[in-house]
Amino acid sequence: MPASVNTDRFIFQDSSGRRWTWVKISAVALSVIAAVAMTVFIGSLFVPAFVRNPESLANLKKQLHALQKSSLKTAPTESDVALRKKLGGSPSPTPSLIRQHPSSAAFPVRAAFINDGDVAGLASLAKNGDSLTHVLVNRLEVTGLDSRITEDSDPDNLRLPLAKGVTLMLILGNEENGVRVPEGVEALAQASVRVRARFIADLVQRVKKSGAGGVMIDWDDVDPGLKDELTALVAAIAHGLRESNLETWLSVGLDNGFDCFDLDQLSPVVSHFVARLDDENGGGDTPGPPASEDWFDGWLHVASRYASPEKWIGAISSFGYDWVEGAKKAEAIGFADVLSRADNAGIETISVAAPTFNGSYSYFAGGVAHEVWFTDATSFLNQLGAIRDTGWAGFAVNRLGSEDPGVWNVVDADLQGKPDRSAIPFMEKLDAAWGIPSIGSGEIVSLDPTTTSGKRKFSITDDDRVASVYEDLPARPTLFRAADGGPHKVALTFDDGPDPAWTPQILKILRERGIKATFFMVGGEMEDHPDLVDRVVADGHEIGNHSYTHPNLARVSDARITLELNATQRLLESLTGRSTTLFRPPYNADSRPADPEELRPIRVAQSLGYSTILENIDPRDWQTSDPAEILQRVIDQREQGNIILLHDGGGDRHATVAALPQIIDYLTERGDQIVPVSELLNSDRDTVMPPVRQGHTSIAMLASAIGFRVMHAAESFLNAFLIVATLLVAIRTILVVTLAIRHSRRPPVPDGFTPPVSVLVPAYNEELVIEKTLSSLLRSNYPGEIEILVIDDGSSDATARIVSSHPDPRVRLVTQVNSGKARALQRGIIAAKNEFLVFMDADTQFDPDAIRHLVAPFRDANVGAVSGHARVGNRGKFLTRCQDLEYICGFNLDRRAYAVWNCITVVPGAISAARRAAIVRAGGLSCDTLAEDTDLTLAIHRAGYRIDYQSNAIAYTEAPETYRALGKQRFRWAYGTLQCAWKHRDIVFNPRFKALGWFSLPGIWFFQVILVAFSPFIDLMFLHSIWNGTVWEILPYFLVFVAVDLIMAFVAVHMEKLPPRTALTVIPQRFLYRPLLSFVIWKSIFSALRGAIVGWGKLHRTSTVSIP
Amino acid sequence: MRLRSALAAVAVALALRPASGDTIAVPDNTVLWGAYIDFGETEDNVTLEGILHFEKLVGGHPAIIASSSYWGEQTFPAANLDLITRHGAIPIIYWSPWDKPYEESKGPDRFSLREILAGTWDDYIDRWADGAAKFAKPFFVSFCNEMNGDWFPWSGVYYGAENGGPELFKAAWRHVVDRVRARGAKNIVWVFHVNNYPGINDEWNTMQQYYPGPDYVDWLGLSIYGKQFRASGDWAEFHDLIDWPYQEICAVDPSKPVMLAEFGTGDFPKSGSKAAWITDAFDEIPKYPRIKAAVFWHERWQNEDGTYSDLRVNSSPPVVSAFRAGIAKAPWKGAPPPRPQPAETPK
Repeated sequence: MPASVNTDRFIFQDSSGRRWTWVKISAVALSVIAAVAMTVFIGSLFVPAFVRNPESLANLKKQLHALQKSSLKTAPTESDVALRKKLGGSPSPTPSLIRQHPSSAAFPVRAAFINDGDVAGLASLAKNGDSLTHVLVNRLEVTGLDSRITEDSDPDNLRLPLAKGVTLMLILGNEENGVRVPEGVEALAQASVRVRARFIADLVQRVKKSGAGGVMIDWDDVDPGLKDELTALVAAIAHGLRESNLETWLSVGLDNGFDCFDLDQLSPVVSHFVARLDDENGGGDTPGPPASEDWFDGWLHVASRYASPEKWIGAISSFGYDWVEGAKKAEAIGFADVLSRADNAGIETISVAAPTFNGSYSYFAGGVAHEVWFTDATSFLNQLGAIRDTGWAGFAVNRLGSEDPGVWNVVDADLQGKPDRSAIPFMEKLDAAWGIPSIGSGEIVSLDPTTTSGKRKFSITDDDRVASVYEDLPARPTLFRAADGGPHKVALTFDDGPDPAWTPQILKILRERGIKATFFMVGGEMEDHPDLVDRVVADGHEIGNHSYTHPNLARVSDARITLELNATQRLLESLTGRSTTLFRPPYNADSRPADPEELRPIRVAQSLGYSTILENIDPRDWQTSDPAEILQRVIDQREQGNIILLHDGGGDRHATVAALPQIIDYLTERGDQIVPVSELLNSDRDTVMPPVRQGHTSIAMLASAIGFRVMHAAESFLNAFLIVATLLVAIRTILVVTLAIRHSRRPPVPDGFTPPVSVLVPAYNEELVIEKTLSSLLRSNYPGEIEILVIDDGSSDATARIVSSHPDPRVRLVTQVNSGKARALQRGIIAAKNEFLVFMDADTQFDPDAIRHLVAPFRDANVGAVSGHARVGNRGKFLTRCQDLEYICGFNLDRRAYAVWNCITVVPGAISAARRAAIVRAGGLSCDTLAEDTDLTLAIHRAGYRIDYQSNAIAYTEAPETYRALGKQRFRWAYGTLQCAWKHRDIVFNPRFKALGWFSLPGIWFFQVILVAFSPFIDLMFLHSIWNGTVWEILPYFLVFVAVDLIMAFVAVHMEKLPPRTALTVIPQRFLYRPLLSFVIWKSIFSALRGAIVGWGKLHRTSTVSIP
Repeated sequence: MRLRSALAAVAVALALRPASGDTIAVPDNTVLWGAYIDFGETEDNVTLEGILHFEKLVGGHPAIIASSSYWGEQTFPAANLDLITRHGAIPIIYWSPWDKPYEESKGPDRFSLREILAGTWDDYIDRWADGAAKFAKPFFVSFCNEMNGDWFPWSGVYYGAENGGPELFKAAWRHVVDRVRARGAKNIVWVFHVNNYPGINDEWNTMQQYYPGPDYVDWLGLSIYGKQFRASGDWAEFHDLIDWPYQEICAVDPSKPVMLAEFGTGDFPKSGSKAAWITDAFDEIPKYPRIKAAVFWHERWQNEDGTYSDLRVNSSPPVVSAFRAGIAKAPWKGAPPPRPQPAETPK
């Protein structure tokens, strides 16, 4: 028996330390290379791509210039004609209307209109809401013949007004898609009492639910021929609302409001009549003032003939219209637009003075004449004064978000009991107004960030009116819109791809129809599916930049925006050899940015040379699974824009794919030409996606190209690894479970083979447990002769004394100077008298039957060693219960399975037996690894013996109770296993060893070393996938792992005849063990590389094992 | 051999050219229904959205879609015709020589019948004819409709009435049709389109007086309107409005098919039931064997006194039901659905 003590032979040991030095040098060199490569790669992404947006977008400002007209025409409008009729031919207001402007009490009603969900309006409300008593919001419509209310607005839009404490009045209108549809109201007015009652009950319920204080009825274009019916309807509604303490207001249009409703009759039930003094010339009329002074005063006078003054509220306009020569409808604009357009067109002064006391100017944009009319704080001062003089209850500003901020100076003066005109000094500086001004039409925008302030001067005219002159126009950051494409050019755009499921289907449809579209791609997706990017370009489509990771760019830094754009640009260049000048910000709602933060991505993109492509036709295809709905939304919005937003990525796009042919059919039928974005810009693909010129490939471009390829390869490898690992785990599980079940059905090994045995108990400082261990052994019911050999490995405590003074003669003590467990065993094997040797740990207790079962298989002379079944004795703690389950699984499944194929890799030191002859033929117990049991097992295999497993030979061992102790133990195991796996590496895939070489030993390498080492990376991938939303791709693998764990645990627990719930511990076990196991594997690998001698981490004994 | 077959092919091609597709077949056992769909003030702003909205209201596709081409615009409505035919319907164009502002009862303007006859507008007529020839598919043209009334500037009453008014009309009609045909626009189906009742009830102003002759007309057309204004006129039932005008128009030419080139009524529940009127119309029209098509006038307009005339199919709930039921009955026939509709939520 060679008892070699030559520590130089310890596996992995490298006393010279050369290996470690070499490893260190290589590691440092590799890190430096990796760091440099990483820096170059990331740096390359910051090097801006040199792209230039097409000429047609550059210098839009230059295309604007002022148009000086001596006087703008103000032809008599329908409203003028009606007014003259009402006034009985007298063209000007009566003298009683000349204002006295007393310093008065504040108006009891201070209302303002707001467009539902208008961001600029909400911003104004947040600032000025405290000065208001009421907010009028358009919410409810009656248009259908079924006398039902349509309400499709977002309830969140009402939150701010409610929070501000102002009273909400819901406007009950009769509009559908911006068109008045009078038939619904007329049908309701002529409907049965029952239908009307149902309508009113529904209305009351909706108003209550919204938290509003009432309703303003605003019905236009209805037939005055139905005056009686309409009056009765309004009265019935007002009664119904009043019963629930809700108010009714009635909007009185000046064209036919007096003819449609009997106001005197309604006066008792309607709280207020709102005179629409804000609507002289609407967007559908010919150009003219929104509310000229004489017109306003005249109608004020007319309205005052009805009901009593305190019933009346005057709607005062503060907005503008921009009429394009020849167009059918004017564009409604806010004060910010009014100022910005004037400033950019080079208008020098604007005078708000007689005769209209409204503002106006004209300009040319791209050769087309525009005429702008607006009302401001000047007209507001005059009109508010007129309302006050007439003794009316209040005013309603039309509307929040479009108003001249000076209006609030007047309102606040009023609130403080000061004269209106005391606000004038505060109104002279022209500064911020709500909203983001824009010029031009089209969904392709550029930004002029110029910001200056301006000023105006006020004066009082001879007839005591306020006039003003805008002397200096302020500049605000302004969006220039371009490329509206005319009535019949339309672009299809697809965002968030490429996606392997949907992009090919969309490409197929486009190819069949011969249509070129524009794809705004996400860099991350391009990187995952480079082939799709190629196909999109090969099919002749255009690609735009949609950032790399699809963040909300309005919420990230400028540097991040640059990085997002450059990374995607670099990737596109490396994949297609083309750059792109097209950009669309993610999470962009439409083409009307309302929040100044939304301008930042546009500004940054512009500075990098991009054109920003927005869209006005957004059928929200991501929101519905119904293609008919997507088509309908395109139809409803088609006239509002020329760029359609669809998605080919980012989710389930069944509906988009199904709707696309219908959308194309519809557009074709309406006579549209479907073009790529470049054509809207009067450009072509080679201009918006310029090829990267040969010989001009920069280092940065090369670096990013290589970087992306490496990144892609790494990702592909991890993905492939995940798939292979999952497959192998699944196969192994099926094999192990099948084999284990087969083993469990084998007939028990017959008893009756009872040769003399020697039990070897290596001990080191075991004074707490040795007594118990020996008594458990002595209680054994083994019929044959037993010799118990305790080998004391130089304990410093009372172990040796306890053993030597043991009364039982079968117990013998062998001592040695401390030199490790393996040496103790070597010594024990030499000292033992008997052929059959039973190994046990000093902290372990045997079942009385254990030795009998353990020895029984040796009847077969081919059996060289037998493994028993170790269990955890101290199950008091969670950590030890986890280990118990681990042991149960390991012994009941793996070991049974391995036993069937004779490929057990370890007979545990805690409970096992061996034939001395086998040990001798295996070359004895060697000391060159920390896992002498594994080493011995493999050596006995080599010697040609069979190794069996006896599940009924049970020993209870003491498991570590702290993570620290567990870590030490597992490191010892892991390092030992690594040593053995390395030492016996020639067995792997060696046909001579059958299952050992092809199944269990490769299993150690893959499942206990590689997989455990890589598991943290898989976990990180999983966490990352949760973060970036691709969790559904990883989750199946993850679930396979968990399912495998659970299945194995259930089977094992069942075999152990324990309650099934015991198996559930496997879930937390996985999360608590995996990091630990992974840590010890890496530590072992590093230790192996260092070549250090690793000592035997000794378990701190607590003597808590008890046989249940 | 080869030469002969080539010649034969040419001959076949030549023979086929003026044939199929160049005319509108007169239906045997069905009556086509059509509509004018409130295309705005100049009646020419045809949009697919407008058509789709109307079709949703009535639950069907009109076989004929009407729109106007006013001389004041000086254009050929190519886009409208393309859109309507792409949609699967036959266009009917009211081609009307009048100028802005398009107001009724104001008398002749620069497009008067005399100017037309003098050749002043020959260039425009030729351009228009070229547009029609280029369009190539057959369509109805109702030129100078309701000339027996007294509201449009081309009525005989503005040209000397009994002293040659109708004669001038016929001469102008022939002048225009000759010029258009000379430009190769053989695809036009000319509709001689009169009002059911004359504006001036006199012998010189009967339908017959205006008829330019069978060589210049392909179809005969009638306008039939019920009560249109709340303040004036009595309620008139449909069958009372059609009976003798039908006899009269049939007498104008014994061989041509007849269409109701416009029909409709206002909605005044206190005077009569519009729903019953529509039901009556859809029941009665097929009883007149020569009527092969009828175009419903779907429009709402505001009158000078501020009241509205609502001739739309959705002027009130019973009306829309009556219309939907009317077009669904035999022998009425619309157009087939123009394109497959999206499937309901495929998964």
